Amino acid sequence: MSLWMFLAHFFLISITPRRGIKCRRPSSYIGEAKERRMEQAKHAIAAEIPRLRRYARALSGSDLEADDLVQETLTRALTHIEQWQTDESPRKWLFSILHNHFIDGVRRTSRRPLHLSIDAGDAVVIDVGGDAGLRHDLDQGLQGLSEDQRQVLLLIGLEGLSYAETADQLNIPIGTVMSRLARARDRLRVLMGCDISEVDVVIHASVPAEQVAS
Amino acid sequence: MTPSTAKTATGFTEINQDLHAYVDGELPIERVPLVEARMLADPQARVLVKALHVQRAALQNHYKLASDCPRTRALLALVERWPGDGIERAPCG
Repeated sequence: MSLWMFLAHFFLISITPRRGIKCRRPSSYIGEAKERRMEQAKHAIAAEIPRLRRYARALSGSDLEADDLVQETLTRALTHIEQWQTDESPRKWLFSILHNHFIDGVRRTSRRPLHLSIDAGDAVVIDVGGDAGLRHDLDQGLQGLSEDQRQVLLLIGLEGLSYAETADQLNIPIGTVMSRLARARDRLRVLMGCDISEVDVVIHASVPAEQVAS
Repeated sequence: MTPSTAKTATGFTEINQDLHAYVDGELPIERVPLVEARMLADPQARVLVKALHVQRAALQNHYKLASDCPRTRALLALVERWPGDGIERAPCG
């Protein structure tokens, strides 16, 4: 076999696809990575649903409205999934979407005149001061707060966010968070008819918060 | 975090943001003994801290996490379907 024939044979072997070995194009790796990222995003977002529902319920004061709010949040999140950085929890991002959607809704409602049915008539009662049952209802108490106060109170008291995280979430200074929080808690106590002097005070300085609360 | 005080509209107590920060676990550890000393010395501070704990616990007890209910499952399905044939509105559960 001449040298030329040997080289031609070697060349033919090297360009013939071998069985069992798939040649993969770079795009297939990109596709897989994207798919993996999507799967990761899906699980991370799904895990936040109960928390989103809880917050939305407390924020809106209505289960139906809350579920619509969460649904819209999920829809927006999934549509704009590329905005989420996968190396961090989607919680902050999802809460931001929910917040923005809630605020948009509040603005829309405030611009629109109140629609009342003809039969509603005297049924619309704004003043809840005389209704003892209502005064003790936490839902109603929360709805008696301003939007700003309610958001801060729920993010810190219910969702356990730090003051700094809350400030970041709402895009306000930390001092504003603290003052809104103090006013919100005070207002809620008043709305729920909790007379602070009636609270049985048996507290020691070293008792952890969990024990005090129980 | 600097101590600050303000009178409430109802005037029944003084709000001290340090006490709020204490209840929320925000206060740096070196400041906690100061707050505790104040609580021991000031009955109103103790009452306020107790009330804050009660309110925080009431909020968390009232709004529990519902991880399994028809509506949560419907919302979950919304995520599960994605990014299949597009995003649909989940039915009310």
